[in-house]
Amino acid sequence: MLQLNNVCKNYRTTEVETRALADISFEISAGEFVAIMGPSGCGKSTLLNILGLLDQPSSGSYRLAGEEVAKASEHKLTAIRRALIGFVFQSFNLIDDLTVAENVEVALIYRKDKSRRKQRIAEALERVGIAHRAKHRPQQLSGGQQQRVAIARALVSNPKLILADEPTGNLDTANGDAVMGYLTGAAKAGTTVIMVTHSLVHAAAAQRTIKLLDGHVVSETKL
Amino acid sequence: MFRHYLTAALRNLARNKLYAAINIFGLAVGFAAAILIGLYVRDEFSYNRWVPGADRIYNVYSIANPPGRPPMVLDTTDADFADLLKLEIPQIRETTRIMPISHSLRHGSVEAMQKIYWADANVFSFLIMPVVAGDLQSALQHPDSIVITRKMARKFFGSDNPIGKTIEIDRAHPMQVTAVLEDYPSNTTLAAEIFASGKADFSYLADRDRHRPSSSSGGYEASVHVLLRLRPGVEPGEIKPALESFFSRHRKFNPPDMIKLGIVPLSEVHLYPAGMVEMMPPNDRATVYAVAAIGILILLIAVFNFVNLMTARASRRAVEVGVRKAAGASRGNLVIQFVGEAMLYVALSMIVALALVELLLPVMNAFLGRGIAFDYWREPWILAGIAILMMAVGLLAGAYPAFVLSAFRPGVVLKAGKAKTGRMRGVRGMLVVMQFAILIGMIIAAGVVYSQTRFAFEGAIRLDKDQVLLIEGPCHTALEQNLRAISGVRGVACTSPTSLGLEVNQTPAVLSDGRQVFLFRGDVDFGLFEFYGIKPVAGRLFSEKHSADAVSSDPNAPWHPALIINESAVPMLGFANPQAAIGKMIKVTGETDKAKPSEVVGVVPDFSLKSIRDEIGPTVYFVNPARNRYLNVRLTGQQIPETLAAIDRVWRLSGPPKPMTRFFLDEHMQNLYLDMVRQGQVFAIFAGLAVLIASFGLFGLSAFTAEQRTKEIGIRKAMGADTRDILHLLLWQFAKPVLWANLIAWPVAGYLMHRWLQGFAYRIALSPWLFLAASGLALGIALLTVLLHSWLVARAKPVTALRYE
Repeated sequence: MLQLNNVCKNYRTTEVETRALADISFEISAGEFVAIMGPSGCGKSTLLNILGLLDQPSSGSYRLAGEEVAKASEHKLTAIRRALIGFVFQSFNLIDDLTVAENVEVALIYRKDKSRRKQRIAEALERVGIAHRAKHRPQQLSGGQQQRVAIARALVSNPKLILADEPTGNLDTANGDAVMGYLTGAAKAGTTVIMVTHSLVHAAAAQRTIKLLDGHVVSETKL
Repeated sequence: MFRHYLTAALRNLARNKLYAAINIFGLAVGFAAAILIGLYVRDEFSYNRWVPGADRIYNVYSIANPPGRPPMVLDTTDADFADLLKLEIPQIRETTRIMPISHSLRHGSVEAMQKIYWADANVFSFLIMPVVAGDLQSALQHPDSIVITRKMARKFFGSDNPIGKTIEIDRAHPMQVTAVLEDYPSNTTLAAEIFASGKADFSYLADRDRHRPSSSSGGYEASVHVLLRLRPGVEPGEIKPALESFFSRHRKFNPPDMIKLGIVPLSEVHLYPAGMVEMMPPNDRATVYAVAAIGILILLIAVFNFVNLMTARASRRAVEVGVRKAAGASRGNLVIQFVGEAMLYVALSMIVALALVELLLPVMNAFLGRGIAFDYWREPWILAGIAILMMAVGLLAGAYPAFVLSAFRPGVVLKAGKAKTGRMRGVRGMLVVMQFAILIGMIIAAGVVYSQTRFAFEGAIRLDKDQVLLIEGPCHTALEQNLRAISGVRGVACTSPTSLGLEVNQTPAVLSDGRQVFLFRGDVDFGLFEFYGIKPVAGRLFSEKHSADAVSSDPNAPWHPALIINESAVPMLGFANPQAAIGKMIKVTGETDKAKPSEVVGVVPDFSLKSIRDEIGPTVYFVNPARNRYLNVRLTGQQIPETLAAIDRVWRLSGPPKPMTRFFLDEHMQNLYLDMVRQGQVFAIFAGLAVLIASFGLFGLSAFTAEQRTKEIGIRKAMGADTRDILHLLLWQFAKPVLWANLIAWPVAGYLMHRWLQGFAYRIALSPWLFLAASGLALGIALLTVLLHSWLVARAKPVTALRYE
């Protein structure tokens, strides 16, 4: 599904240059469920952003679905993101002004995917057990409910790759477990899932764990 | 605590320089516009009030109600009425007269045409004016005395004190300067800067006094402004019945009450419904109110901006509110702090505004031809007005964000690091809609005024006015022959001022069935219609080949010249169509009692050089050489300066012994519609200002919105939105209020401009395209304004947007 070769990411401020990622190389095949772990500031989120084409590496190669994207244009990145990727964020990142259903719809409108749109949204909400809240605003929901909406949004477009940035970080155990259930289900259905997490328990649900420290891959564990 | 608040406010201002600049400058422009408009409106209501007791000095006007015709107002009455009014109406204490007539004045080598007020000796007990030299009370006692303003003194004598020196009127009558008046302020309706004694034997006023009409006379010459003062305690309403019945006792008209008299205080003449023979062109009260309303609307746009930007920024200060509350600040403390901050902004805006007013007032004065002063340090009430304006705007604009902000619950805002400001956003949206509604309305108004003005200059003119010069001078003389001989002159024709609508004269006429009607009268000469390219719609034009066409020069001969009527007269005279009018007989009775029925030989289309405000009306034309005193000269359009110089030479050689009065018809039209042109310019200027202020606001709001929606934009981009999608999203957000604004602007502006157009007898139709164009323009401006921020934020990498959280 994707291949990283010597990917580096540097952040430059006026005075210092910080290396967030150093020579990261790994490969993830289609349908794999991978957990990325590491202490705060080790570069997990930066890596995830690069994997999700929200950011680009300073150097190195990144091939996604057979295409080199490390130096691709913004236009191309957008097109690939539309076609392949779904996101789940730690802080849910729902749009306050839109209803639950409309938030889920956001994942479809830019794909210009008009077929059975309402039905697919309803199904996605049904899958995460939040259909009864379709007309509510995000602020009217609990954190667990909000994250389910975010998951529904990530699933609704049937992406090839789901990137989840600490999806259970802000949730209690029960809600966290539920979220993990949806992600595992997606992986079983053939979607590649990459999840950044602090939780060993939740990482255990993945087939492989990549550990980062100070921007380097320090270990890879395969279950 | 005050110092602490001030420091916080100043630091906040310094940290948000862009917002502060937009806020302060936007409000300053609004303030400056409001102050300038306030000064203008005050000036409009101050006309003649510099004359002591102007509100107790009344001008007598006449209203004519010819049967079947709209009423006609004249700001004048007949000369003999002054004494009669005082005699018959005991509540009147005193009367005086001024009669405006233009003459040539000469002193040494300086000669010019000037309007003179021929006046009664007591005129300066009414018009008490500051003097430079001389004694006004005795200044007009002698028949050869003349009083001039300082400006005239300098013009003719080169000094401020020419007392005792002489000036010649019409190169024949020496008059002695007995007093010099201070120059009038600009807010005056007095049109002449020279007062001459009406006792002067050669004056027309003395002539009218020598030949007083009898009470059985059917003639009425409204050529004199009669001013009167009432006895103490008498209200003007008390003499109304006596005034209305006065006319029928002194003139025999049919119907007897066709003309009524009325009075208006000198202090209100300027804004009184315009009559003919006014002192100075008056202003329309509705226009002044409209300008005042525009001032308020501009101020509102600026205040809306201010509130919008203050509330937009407010949500950024939620944490500060939380911390302050946690530290023990009461809601009252916070309200004071935020209102105080608003006041600081308002005060800074006012300082900028005062500077702008100082800078722009001379420009405005030059534009309006006024001498409006802005002496706020000398006029405490202006200072008070400014202070009240500041307090009001500060409180209005500061209170809303202050109350919303101070109501934040510290626990909530501290946890979230921000506050929910959905309600404020609703208010902001509404205010933006209101702003754009005002803006679109103003653009529509400017467009309608512009189109109507163009129509007045081009569409409504039904005669060929190109390159026509009008010269006031005698016809059928060597002058006319010499003018024709100039190489740059294509043709010359004679006319009276009435036939072109430059002056108005109505005449009674009796139809063959005995019915009496009133018609406008146009005395013309052979060739006038041809000169202006007017072709008959029925019958023929006047021709020298028909010997009976003209009024006979023999005063004892029967009076029955051939008549041409205009199309408006056809139905009024009871003819089915123009052709049916040909050959019919009408007796025009206004000129002489020797009148016999005359034959209608032609019908011409309606035409006039009158303002399109007035209906052209049913008019009868006949050839009457004795009345012709305008030479219409059409130039070839080549070598105009040389041709004009040649015309001036011809005048000196063969014209009458006085300076020439000449003007191009185009200039006449310019003067006729000066008020409309100005109104159009005023609307355009203020619409421009409104655009400027609203753009400031929108620019600030777009920066804020782009910032506020950064997270959402990040999410959308993560979900696959590209730059175009985001740009579309943001632009649509700002396009929506503009589109909503149309719902308010269209009906309101449509209704008001429809009302405005009703003031014209001939007018354009309101075109839907104008409305669409105004909206399109407003939309374009809005989108251009917000494009920069939207583009920047739409292009940002999604990760930047998401990291913002």
